[in-house]
Amino acid sequence: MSGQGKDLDRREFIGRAAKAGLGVAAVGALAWWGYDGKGPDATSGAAPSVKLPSYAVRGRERRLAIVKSSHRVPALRAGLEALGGLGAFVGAGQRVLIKVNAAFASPPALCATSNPELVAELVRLCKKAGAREVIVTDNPINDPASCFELSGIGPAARAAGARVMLPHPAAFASYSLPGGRLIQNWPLLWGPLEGVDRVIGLAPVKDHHRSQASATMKNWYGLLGGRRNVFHQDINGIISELGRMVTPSLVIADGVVSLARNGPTGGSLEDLKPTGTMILGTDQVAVDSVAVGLLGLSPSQVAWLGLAQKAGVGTTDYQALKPRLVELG
Amino acid sequence: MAPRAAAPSRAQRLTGLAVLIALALVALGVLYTQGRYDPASWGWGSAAPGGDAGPLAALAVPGLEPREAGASFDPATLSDKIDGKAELYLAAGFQRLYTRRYALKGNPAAWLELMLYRMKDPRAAFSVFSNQRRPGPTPPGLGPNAYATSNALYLADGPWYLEAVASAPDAGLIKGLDAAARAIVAALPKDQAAAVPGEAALFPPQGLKPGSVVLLAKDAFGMAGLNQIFIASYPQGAPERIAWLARRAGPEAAEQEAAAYARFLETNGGRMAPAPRAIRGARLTELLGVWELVWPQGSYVAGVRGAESQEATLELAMRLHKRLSEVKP
Repeated sequence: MSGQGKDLDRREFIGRAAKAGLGVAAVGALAWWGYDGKGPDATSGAAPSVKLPSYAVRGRERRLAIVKSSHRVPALRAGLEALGGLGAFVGAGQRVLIKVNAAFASPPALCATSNPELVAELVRLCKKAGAREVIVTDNPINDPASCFELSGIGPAARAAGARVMLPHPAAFASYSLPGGRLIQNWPLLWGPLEGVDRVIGLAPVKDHHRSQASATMKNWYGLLGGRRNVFHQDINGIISELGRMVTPSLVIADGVVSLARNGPTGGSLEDLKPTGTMILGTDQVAVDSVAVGLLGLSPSQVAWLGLAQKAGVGTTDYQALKPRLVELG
Repeated sequence: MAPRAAAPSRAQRLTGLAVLIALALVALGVLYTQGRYDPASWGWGSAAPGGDAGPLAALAVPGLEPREAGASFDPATLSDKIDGKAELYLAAGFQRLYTRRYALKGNPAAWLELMLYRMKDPRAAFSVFSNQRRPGPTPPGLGPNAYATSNALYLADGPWYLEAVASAPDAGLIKGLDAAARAIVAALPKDQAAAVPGEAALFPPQGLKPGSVVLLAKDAFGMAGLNQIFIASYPQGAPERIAWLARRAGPEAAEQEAAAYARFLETNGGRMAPAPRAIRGARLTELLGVWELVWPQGSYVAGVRGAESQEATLELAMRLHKRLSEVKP
């Protein structure tokens, strides 16, 4: 062996070999220390894991209002009034999250997403009720920025004074639904939820190719991240679990004009049906049971409603809640 | 004893230090990225849609300008674009979706989106076309499988299915939809025929609801494995009657499928009744007050469903039977 033309003596050779050995051992030890034998779960989100509290307002359970109207904003105001006013749900200084349906980068006229005027009015009413901050969010199917802009929800919400929060990787945390079969170690859009006092769901009433119908419970799908399309194989199970995952302060199903066929995307104005109804309540199963009726379905025909009722999320017998009926014409 | 190797120079020490710092930065970067693991972005095979707009990349439409470069989606990512409706396309034989948005020149708020689906064959394209058909006139010169609605234009041409959707029923956009559709049809390779599948012409014309022939690709009428079924509506009577048929590999396969469907009805609560002798091999079932007749005929399996009386069922069945007897299986 030679080094720069000079021979090594035995002592130097042993010394260098020992140093090299120590170096290899150190790298090996470092690798051992950092080795994760389990590896990342293909369905897991970023640490840390979180728990979702109930956002229900004590004393306001089992409330339901059904407003008949062909205009969204008056229907919203009347429905909230029938429930005792938004002030019964939103207090001064509170942070409110409005979970909209901004799933697609489609224009508001197609009713595949929450109506922007309705979003804006709800933001304004929350502010008027004293909310310190109103956050509007969703994790859309399509590109988030395009969805919020082209649906009109982003500009409308911002103009009304809301903070629009788009999803980004750091906003997700791992979540497991207690006793859940599907939602286990799954990425949850936690960033917008962190520290909020109230959660309001605002969803359009839509036909859905896989689940027959989509309303307020299906809307929580937009709080999941990851490759959530795997849940389409058990669409009824996942909607039922979504209902268990979120206990909202209030949900609103906009069926003033419903996407009555070719959902959930629609595309043609001919897919729409004027159904003239807005449903507001604290029992999301009851609200959705009224909503599916606008699509010509009875609650017993919609499997996920039955599963949610069985799981204790709410009741499909919405008449048992003695709904307040308001006719605006 | 050989002389010891010379000590490294200052330049060598600095170079070594720089390499170590660079390695440390790489290690820190790996640790940081690993700690923010996002299952939606990592894993075997990217799930992100591609940027290839395919046949739309070079599409120029008078009066319109592209809003974006466009994108494409494969079977693994289709639901990222159309969510739960992906199953309809996948079951029919979806291969790729190309999308691109255009806006009126000088008015980016008035836009339209082109969604061009490549299906495995013309039957698959007809299936997704017919399953979503809305009422609307057929624009001249775009083939038999085309229609326009108040804000959209849909057509199937060979293995291609086009959805062209405007953000509003604006006259300029409607003109743009038509021009875009014509440009696409002119540019698509004509390697496969664009005609309506032959089975569609076998339904009796008298009383047939125009545009009601639909190809159900998979699990028709809720029966697993009942695939590639053509249905047609006859609106006289309430509920309206449905005639259906499918071509199979031979008489034996048709007979087996007719028997399997009758068993399926019986399993689900159907009550078998004496079948009319006029149609050989027919099986008659009553289910929840509605009658179903199914029979094999040469290589075809055919049926009538939805009528509330045996007479109405048999009347349509006899006409379909006569039509089928006129074709060579």
